[in-house]
Amino acid sequence: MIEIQNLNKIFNENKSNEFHTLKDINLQIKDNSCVILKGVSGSGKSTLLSIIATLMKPSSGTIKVNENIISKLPDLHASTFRAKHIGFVFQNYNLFNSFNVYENIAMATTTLNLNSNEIKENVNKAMKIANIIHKENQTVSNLSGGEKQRVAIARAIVNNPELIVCDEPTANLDKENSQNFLKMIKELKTLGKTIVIATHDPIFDELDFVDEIYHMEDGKIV
Amino acid sequence: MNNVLLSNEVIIYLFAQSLIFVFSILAFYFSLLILKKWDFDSSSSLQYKLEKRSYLVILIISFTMIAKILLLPYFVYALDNLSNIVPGAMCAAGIVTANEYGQISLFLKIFVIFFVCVWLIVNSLDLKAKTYPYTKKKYYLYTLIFFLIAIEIALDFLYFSNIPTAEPVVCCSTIYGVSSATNHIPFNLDIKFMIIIFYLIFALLVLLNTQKSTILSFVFSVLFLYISYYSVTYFFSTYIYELPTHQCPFCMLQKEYNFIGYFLWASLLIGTFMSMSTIVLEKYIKQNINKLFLISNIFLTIFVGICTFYVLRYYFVNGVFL
Repeated sequence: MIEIQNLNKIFNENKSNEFHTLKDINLQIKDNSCVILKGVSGSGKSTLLSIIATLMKPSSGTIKVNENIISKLPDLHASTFRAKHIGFVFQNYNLFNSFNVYENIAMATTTLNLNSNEIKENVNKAMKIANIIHKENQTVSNLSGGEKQRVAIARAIVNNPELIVCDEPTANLDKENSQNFLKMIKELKTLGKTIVIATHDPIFDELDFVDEIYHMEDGKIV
Repeated sequence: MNNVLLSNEVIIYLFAQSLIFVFSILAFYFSLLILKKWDFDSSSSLQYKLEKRSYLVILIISFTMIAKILLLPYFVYALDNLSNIVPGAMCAAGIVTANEYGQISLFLKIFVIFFVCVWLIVNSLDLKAKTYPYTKKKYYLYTLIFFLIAIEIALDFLYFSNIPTAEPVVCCSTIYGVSSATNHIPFNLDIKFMIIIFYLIFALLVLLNTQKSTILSFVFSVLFLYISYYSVTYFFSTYIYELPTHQCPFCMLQKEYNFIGYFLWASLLIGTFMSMSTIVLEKYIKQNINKLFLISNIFLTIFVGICTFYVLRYYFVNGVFL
């Protein structure tokens, strides 16, 4: 269970260009649920996702994951927590273009001190789920947009996290690849994952596996 | 202006000390703010800001602390180099005793380094934990260190500006001569008896460290530090210089002796400080860090090993002891 309480994020605080991105957000996300955060650009979706994923600290308020306050974790512990419990699929994938598919996915396991056999096993499993195993040795720069996203998903699930966070996952995909992505998300949900997606794509509006849709506007959930 | 203050080493040293002090003042100011408002359980905007600020302050303090450690050998090196411009001085021994501030300054620096080591250990434990459990304690400790650094820098300026360059100073040349040596040894101990005590305390200290006995390790570390100073100065140094009448704790820092003095004194200080810090940490933050005993034993063994090596080398080369 993820509990967000009185969460605020202010950029450039006390400066002339101060920007209150998130305003008193209160939210509960149940385990094994799929939650969509909808809203226009600048509504605060990505900031909220980054804070949930411990990539950013809030200005005030708390985020609890299974009763552990993760918003106050020191950086060292936040990165370990992230590696073990959270998978992040970025809008622009954030892959290493000169590395191959296997290397990109294996990169996410480096902080967990796994041995080479365990890494190989985990990466192969993730590649199978994301349906990218046939491109294992292909350099990322030679992949299509849809394939890149499958690599990004495989990287997000390689450490078997409970929570998967996706930021505008279909923004750079055509209709067919978007449908493939939805199938994959559905499969991840059947595997027991909690999924939080920030998007403004209407494709997510009427899906049977989506549990909640929250609309964000001007930093608030409306 | 005094020639001493114009020497390159002294200029660099005082500049570095002043720079450290400026950073220390900054860190001290923010430490007070953090100490006043810190409440880890709060999720307020202020607490998040303090956590962020604390990260930067810790970085500044860590930088100053590491710089302080590095500056101690440089201070000794600077003193050693001053012997070229101060009449009568042959090494740092003459410079340290050139006025009333020298020895106090050196002792204070060693004292500060001990607290710096403790602070660095507390800081590393605090950063490893999830809830910053020792943040307040480490900032309290820092305020103490800050005041010690302030006294230290005042002493530095007094010391360097009062070193006479016209009158000759007393140096290790005056302790040349076997008869004078025993007069300087505490309790008028015989040198052979002192060396037996030196090895006995070392063995006991290693044993106590192995047993992880914090109080006894502290007591015997202080004792070992004390006896080691005299043992090195009046016995082991003669084997390093290969001259029975040359008894000096500083000449071994020079190039002729392969700078062995730095390794020797550093291993002694690290070895004893690690052992001594265990009780401070136990009492102050209720933490037993067994690793420190191991580090202490390693450095104490290196120290005793270096001392013994020079004696044995002399014996194997010359067939006699001095």
